[in-house]
Formats: sequence, C-alpha cells, structure tokens
Amino acid sequence: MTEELSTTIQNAMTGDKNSFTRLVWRYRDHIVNIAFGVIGNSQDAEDIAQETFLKAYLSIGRLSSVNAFYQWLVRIAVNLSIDKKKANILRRAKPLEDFFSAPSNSAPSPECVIEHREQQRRLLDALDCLSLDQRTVLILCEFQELSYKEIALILDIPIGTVRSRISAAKYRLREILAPERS
Amino acid sequence: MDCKTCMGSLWEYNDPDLDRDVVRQMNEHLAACPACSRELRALTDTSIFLKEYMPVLTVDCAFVQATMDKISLSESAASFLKPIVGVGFALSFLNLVVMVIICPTCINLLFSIGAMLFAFVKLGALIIQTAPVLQIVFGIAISALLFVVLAFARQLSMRRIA
Repeated sequence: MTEELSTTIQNAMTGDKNSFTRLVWRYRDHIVNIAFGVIGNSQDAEDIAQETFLKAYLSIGRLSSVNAFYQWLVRIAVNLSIDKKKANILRRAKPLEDFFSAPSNSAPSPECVIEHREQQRRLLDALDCLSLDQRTVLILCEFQELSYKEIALILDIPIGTVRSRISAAKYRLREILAPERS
Repeated sequence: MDCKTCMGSLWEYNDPDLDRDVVRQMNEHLAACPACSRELRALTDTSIFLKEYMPVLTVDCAFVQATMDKISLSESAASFLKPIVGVGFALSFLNLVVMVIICPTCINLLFSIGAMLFAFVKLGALIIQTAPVLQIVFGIAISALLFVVLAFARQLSMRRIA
C-alpha cells in the first residue's frame, strides 16, 4: 500500500469526505465487478456498489487498521451481493441481458460481436449453475485475483474451505463449458 | 502418483504456490497418462475461457457523483432524525419514570384500558368482516344503547336540577 493511499484512508477514517471520494474513485470498478460477478446483473451490481460505499462511509470510523480497508470493503460488497442474489433467487428474477462488453480487438465485425455475446451469456449461465458459495470464491480468486488467505479472511472461513470451493467450482465449470472432453 | 491423486490436484496445477515436489510428481504422471493430460487441457481451456469472456464493467464519474449524493442525503437524513430520536427517547424515559416509579398502580389501569380497547378493535374488525346486514343490525343496536344511556343521563340531570 502506498503512503498516499494510506494517508487517504486515514483521512477518510477521521471523516474527511474528499478523501472518501478519492477512495470511491479508486475502488469503484473493483467493487462493481465483484458485485456483478456474484449477482450477474449490471444494474443490481451498481446499486450494490453504491450501497457498499454508503455503508463503508457510515462505519469507516470503526475500521481497526488502514491496511484492512480493501478487505473490509470487499467483505461489505460480498455480503450485500450475496443477500441481493439470494433475494433475486427467491423472487425468481432473471438477470437482464443488459450488459455485454465488446471483444478486445479494435474494430470487431458484427459476427464477432454476436459470437462474443453468446460466449458471455454461456459463461454467465454456467456461473449460475454453481452454488453461491462456490461462485463467490471463484469470482474473488479468478477475476479479482485475491490470494486464498485474503479470501479466507474476507469470507471468514478456513483456507481449506476456500481451496475446496475453488476446486469444486472449477471442475463444475469444466463439466459445463467443456463437456466434449469428459 | 496415481490418476485419482493427480485429478484431485489438477485444478491448482498452474498455482505458483503449489509444492515443487507435487508438481514434479504430477509432471511425471501427466507425461505417461493421456486421460489426465486431457483433463488438464480442459481445465486450462476453461480458465482461459473464463478470463476471456467474463464481462468487465467500468463505471464513469456519474456513478461516483450518485454515490456521493447518496452519502450526503443519508447524512442530512441522519442529522434531521437525530433530534427526533432524542426527543422520543426522552419522552419514553419520562413515561417510564411516571408510570413505574411515581405511579406504579397506573400500570394495571393502563393494561385494563388497553385490553378493553383491543377487545373493541377486535370486535369492530370482526363486524367489518361479516355480512353488511349484521353491520346494520349492530349499528342500530349501538345507536339504541347510546340513546338509552343519553336519556338516562338526561333524566338524572333533570332530577338533580329539580
């Protein structure tokens, strides 16, 4: 953690709103993508990210250490996302087909864009087949590239549980996404 | 290393923290076992697929603005509610002091009044749920009762005046 970031978090902890705004700028994409990974809906993900920052602002004074800020923020986002996902499952709300990122090449052909969207939809459907626990751990490990230890701290579970959930998630996804090889 | 052990560890084959001895044993097994090699390729392909096609969201400054607006709104709501909550707590405390410390017998009376009110409300709700004819009958009965009570009160007051 850089000294500048550490000072910003310290100032935010004392109630400095400008410092907190800088933290929102810095972590906005991380938090939105974590929420999106768990929920699978971009609109809900943005709402949850906003709620995460609001909750963080209201309780940042209780944060024990500057170094724990990111893990603490991710924990809030994950808990809110899990609650939202559970509520969506109960309401049987289907994710809207609202968000698809474009392929990485600069000028993709229409066929390429359609293909890319189909694969993204396939991936999101496959993620929906995982349990919520497996999905959450996989999102934090594969896409946010957090270590097993960090994930264990964030979710408050043993490292062995993190490893077993990741392993189960990967084998399940492999079954769904590459069945021709089994 | 046998196939079962190798298959169980394939998912973390590319993990740099994996024990070197385990990696060496896995490599030896993979070189001789086409089934495990196929499984490893499938898992690697799945990981690549995940990285390539997982949508990545980016939010603009409107998101930050909306978030900070929400925070400001929440702060102003909290500052507005604080005195109201304070007054509420003070009144509750005062009520507690009067009812429990100053006038403990009032509690029984209050409970009785509360129970009566509850019974009336329950009766009312029951009547509303029943047929309209019953409501009319009950209305007439209540009016008659009221009339009798008022007439009696009038007669009593007339006697006193006389």
